[in-house]
Amino acid sequence: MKILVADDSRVMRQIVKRTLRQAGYTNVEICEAGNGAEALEVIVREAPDLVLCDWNMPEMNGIDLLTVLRAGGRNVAFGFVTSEGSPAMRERAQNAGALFLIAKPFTPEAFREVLEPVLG
Amino acid sequence: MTTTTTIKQDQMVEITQAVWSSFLGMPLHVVETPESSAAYGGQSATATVHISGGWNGSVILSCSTTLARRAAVAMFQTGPDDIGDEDIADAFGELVNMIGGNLKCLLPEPSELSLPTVSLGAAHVVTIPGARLLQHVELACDADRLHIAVWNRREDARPDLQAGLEGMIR
Repeated sequence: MKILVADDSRVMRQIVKRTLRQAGYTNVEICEAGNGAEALEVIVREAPDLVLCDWNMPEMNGIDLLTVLRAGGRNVAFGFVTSEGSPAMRERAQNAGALFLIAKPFTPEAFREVLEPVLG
Repeated sequence: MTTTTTIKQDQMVEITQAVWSSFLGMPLHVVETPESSAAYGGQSATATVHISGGWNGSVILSCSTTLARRAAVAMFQTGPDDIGDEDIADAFGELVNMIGGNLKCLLPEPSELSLPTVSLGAAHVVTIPGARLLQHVELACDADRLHIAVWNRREDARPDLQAGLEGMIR
């Protein structure tokens, strides 16, 4: 099981990885990207099972990344981890093909709740 | 979710405390007697995000570099000696991103949240042309103070209401 964590903040990537472990996902391989363009390269190269992606990033933001992925026929499981969790953002994420949106700040329980249906 | 064109102090406090307790594990409470930011000892950290679209304005987080360093240490879960200015800027920028993002959810949509900008160092001034101070609150984390301000930018803003943060950041 491989998960890509894409966020332009290094500390947030660390917090997401830490929260995954706290949620019980200790046996997963994690790769990282600092923006959407880098994430696209990693997805093509590493073929992760799940992408946990920030929305607001330089180079290419999360929603543009997801749009490019789906337009290119890549159906990798994709969820947002973002500070913006309004109903409009959630709807936009879902319409673009995201499975879920986790709003920051989050808890290990919030991760478990949305990841269990995806990762088991 | 109900949106509004204003922000209440208790909403700012609730959001900031949620961020602080989730990712820093440090206490944060409202103070009745705000300190001059001169108490930052001349070395301050300021992080800003801008909201534009259905509502226009900025969220500014400021504190001493001592508190910003403590926050970075807590978020990275490492020792103070392992934290550099780049790490402090990264962590403090993420804090204002989370607080600004959650406040944006209360405001009219559609709007966009900018990437955060962070400055660290000697007393500095932040200005936002055409903006007025909408709401602000000061919180205490042990002996350190954290100031959060929301500025509203309007098309019809009067020049005499334009923002100058001098005196708030210094």
